[in-house]
Amino acid sequence: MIIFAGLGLNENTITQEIIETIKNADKVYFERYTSPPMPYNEYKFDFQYEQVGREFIENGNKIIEESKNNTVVLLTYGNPMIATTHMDLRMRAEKAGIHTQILHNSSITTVLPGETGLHSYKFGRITTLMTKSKIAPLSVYDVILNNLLSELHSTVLLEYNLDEDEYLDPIEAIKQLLGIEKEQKKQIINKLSTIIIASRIGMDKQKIYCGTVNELLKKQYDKPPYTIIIPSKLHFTEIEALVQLFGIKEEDIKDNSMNIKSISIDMLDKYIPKAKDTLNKIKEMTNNEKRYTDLFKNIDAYIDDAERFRDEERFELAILSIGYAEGLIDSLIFLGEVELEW
Amino acid sequence: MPKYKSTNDIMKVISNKDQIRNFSVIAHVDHGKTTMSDSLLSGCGIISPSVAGEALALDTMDMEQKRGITINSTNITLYHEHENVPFVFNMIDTPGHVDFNTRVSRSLRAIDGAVVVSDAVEGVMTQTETVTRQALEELVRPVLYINKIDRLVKELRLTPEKMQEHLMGVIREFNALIDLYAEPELKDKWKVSIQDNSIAFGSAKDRWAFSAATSKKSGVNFKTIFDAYNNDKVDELVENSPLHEAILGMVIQHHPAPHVAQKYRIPKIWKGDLDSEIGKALINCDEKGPAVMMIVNINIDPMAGSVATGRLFSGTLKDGDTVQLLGAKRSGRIQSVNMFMGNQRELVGQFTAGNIPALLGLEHARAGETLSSQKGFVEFESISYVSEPVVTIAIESKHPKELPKLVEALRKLNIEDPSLVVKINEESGEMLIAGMGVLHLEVATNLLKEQNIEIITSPPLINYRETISGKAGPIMAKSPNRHNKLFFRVEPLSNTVIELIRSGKISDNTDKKELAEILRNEGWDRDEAKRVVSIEPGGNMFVDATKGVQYVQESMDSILAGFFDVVNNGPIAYENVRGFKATFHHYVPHEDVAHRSYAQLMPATRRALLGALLSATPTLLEPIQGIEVKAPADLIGEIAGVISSKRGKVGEITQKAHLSVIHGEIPASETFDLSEKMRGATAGKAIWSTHFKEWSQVPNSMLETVIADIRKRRGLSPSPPPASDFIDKD
Repeated sequence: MIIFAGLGLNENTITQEIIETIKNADKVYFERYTSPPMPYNEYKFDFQYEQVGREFIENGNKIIEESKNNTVVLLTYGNPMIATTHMDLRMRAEKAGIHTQILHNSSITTVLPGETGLHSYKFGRITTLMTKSKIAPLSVYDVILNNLLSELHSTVLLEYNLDEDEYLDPIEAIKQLLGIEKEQKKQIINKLSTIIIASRIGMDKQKIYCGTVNELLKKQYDKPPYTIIIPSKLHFTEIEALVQLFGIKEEDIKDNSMNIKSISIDMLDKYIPKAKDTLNKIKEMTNNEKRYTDLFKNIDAYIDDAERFRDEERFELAILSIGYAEGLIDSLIFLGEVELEW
Repeated sequence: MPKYKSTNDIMKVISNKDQIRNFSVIAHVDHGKTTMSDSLLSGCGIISPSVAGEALALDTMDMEQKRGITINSTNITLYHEHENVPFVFNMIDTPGHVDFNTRVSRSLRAIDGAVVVSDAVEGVMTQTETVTRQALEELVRPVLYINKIDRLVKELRLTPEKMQEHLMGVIREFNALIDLYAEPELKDKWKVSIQDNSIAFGSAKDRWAFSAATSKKSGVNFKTIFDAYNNDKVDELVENSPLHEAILGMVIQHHPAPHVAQKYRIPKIWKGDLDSEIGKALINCDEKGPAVMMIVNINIDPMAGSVATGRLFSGTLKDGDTVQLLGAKRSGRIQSVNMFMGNQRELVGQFTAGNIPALLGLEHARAGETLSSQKGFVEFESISYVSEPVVTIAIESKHPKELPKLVEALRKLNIEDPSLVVKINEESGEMLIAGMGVLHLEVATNLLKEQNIEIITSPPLINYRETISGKAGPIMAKSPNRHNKLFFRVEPLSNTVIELIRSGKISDNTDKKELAEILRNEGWDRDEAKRVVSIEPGGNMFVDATKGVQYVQESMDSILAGFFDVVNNGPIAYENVRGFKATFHHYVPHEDVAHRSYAQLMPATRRALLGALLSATPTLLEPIQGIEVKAPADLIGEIAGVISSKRGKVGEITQKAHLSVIHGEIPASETFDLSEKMRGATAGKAIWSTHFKEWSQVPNSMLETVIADIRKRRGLSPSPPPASDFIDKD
């Protein structure tokens, strides 16, 4: 039998349940690679255990073999199935006919709402920024963008690479995000965005900063681990919490989702005025000739539809309509009725 | 009369492009190229006449002088007045030995004309053919100089009539090459003839030569030559018909001035838009246009550092200019602009289009690089390298404290000669150099020894290649954390596609549309041809055939790293892999980047590809060397015997004067004691040269032993692992 046991966020959050289980276990492993060690003190336990690294867990053969006839406990940070995901090992054990059990504990992702006062209902997909990267990958950008579009907060974990004892500093992480913003230009973050940087949550010297990107770029963050939160539209109770807990002024808190435009709106804002403009030009060029009247009416109607659907946030229909309007204009040009480039 | 000209005089002449010629002297090994270059030098008054013929001024490296063969291409500027008009010649010397073929190809890019030197007795030889073909491919106009005419008189005792008859044979052979290799519309124009003054005859050692044009003035002809050698009046020949007048006369008449040549050469050697600003400047050799230079050679000067020599095709370069290195994607500042006079560098301050500047201060420049005052345009196509490094030796420093010095020296060596492959294994401290042949490596190790580094070298080892003869896949492997599935297919690339890659005709720099077109002509599927992600220059390709999968783009660097790792360390013996197409078939990634990092995707790709290659009938290729042996006819039997005993094949046997030339091929692995065997069988009467010919499958009967030997050397078990070790089932 394998028991996956989560230690929670520090040495004191080990549960009575785990201690009792270990008393009856044949072997205890402690995996030390999915999270940085605690910055200021070591884990001290009263029981015997063996420390293991990435190879051991990823290979998994030894632990699976041993657990066929013995009770083996695998201690992990936080919760064993959240960010550290040992699900694969569990499934392989189950397939081998080994019974598995999980002893749950808190994880960084479950305590952040409490620590920051943000609603747990409003967190979106989690993402990670890695060391050794100059700008953030597009996939991370898209996670934050889609969270903001759905008015959800984004949790961005910063990588700790145990193999090379390297961690991503929050300042570098922000620069990575500003870097990709410069390329993508969808306004997910700028120097005035309100962000939260949480360091060493649940450990000694826990510290959370909330402020504008500009302010937080000037701070120093001491030892890892770190997490960045990019809040979306905030509920008034969330704003109250940020003001109370982190001393930020209410007027300095920005709604980060405000400047975001969905791709559809972005397209419509470009295409609708362009189609209108071009149609007006064509009307002038043809002196409103009679034989075109029906056609122009049609184009006008499609443009009107596009605007109406946009306002109703029925974007698929809006784009379809403006596409139709453009097609009709193009057909006039292709038939040589008017000479125009647009 | 020889004249010593100051740099200022030369700079004045080159302000008129009609008075510039850029040419090279090319030849089969030992046909007298360097001796001829020296005679030219002495005629133009840069070194004193008494030492020419022995000074070998162009052979700047000590070793070249000792060996009497030319190794490194060097540029030299000559001055000569022809019919009272001053001319400046940029002459690039090229090595004749086949092992240095890559350097020959590089030099050709910088010049517009070539003087092909051929031995009067031996005529057109393999290397003459190879270099002439390379020249014609680069649209370099050849003229012919037939050297060692004295041998016809002294050794073969031919009468003037017989001499001419014999030489007509050589000329026919040479024109046959032009027929074979020149562009169709140039064939007739570029054939050489005595009447046209595109052929000269002479003896470089004795510093005379004549052509139709000089003969008219001096009266020197075959009869005069015959008499001179029989009556000990060679000095008069030198007086009446000096070598440089005949040769430079041909060069002036037949080799184009740079602005004339660039009109037809640029469309062939530069693939950019000819109507663009840069295109027009290149075509017109416009000194007011953007500066564009192709670097053909890098020398490391102990005092000045890296010296980049090349052809300035357009614009002007000055001391202090900041330039872009297009390949390296970085900029550099020119410390000083120089010209090369033999091994002397002269500061000139600036150079204009059509010349061959030597630039100091560009430490990141490499041979083959395009350098410009602008960026973001098409580079000169990478020069095609025909040969492959097939022999490797391990090097260690005798004294451990000299290790850093050795590493530095190896690094420099690699910059000067990119055809050497230097590998330094940081874990084991092992240092390997791979070269074109045993001689190539000997030259390299001697260069190290000359820097007073004591080294120990291993016996030479043959480089094998791994390849597959079947298809396999899709085969799946999971990342170590088992959160990502990668599916790959593999199949052999066709020989024509491998050739396209190896010759540099297609590479990562090829325009995507053009590449797709080329591959479709090779029978590739339309969609597949568009989705080539990487062309590995060793002769392999990576194609992305995934459809509608997320994060492929973001994961590609890590996945390609796995592909390159497999290319460098093949599945059966950790040799390089050649000639396979890796098709990325499907991808099931984890949602979060942390779980699909390099540490996860690189090994997964490696495993999937190793599993696929091992399932696709993997095999080993060995390098085959072409061999050409010259010996008296009665030894043919013995020589054929030696070649056959070395798993070799004897091919065509031709007759050159009193010598027979035996062509054949031998696996490179059998060549190490060839000298011994050949000397023993022929009492030292045979002379031979070898060159890389092709990769050929190791015979099945030997395959297992060869694999076991390589694996043992690498500390591995004798048999390759089974494919199932690398494949995940679900």
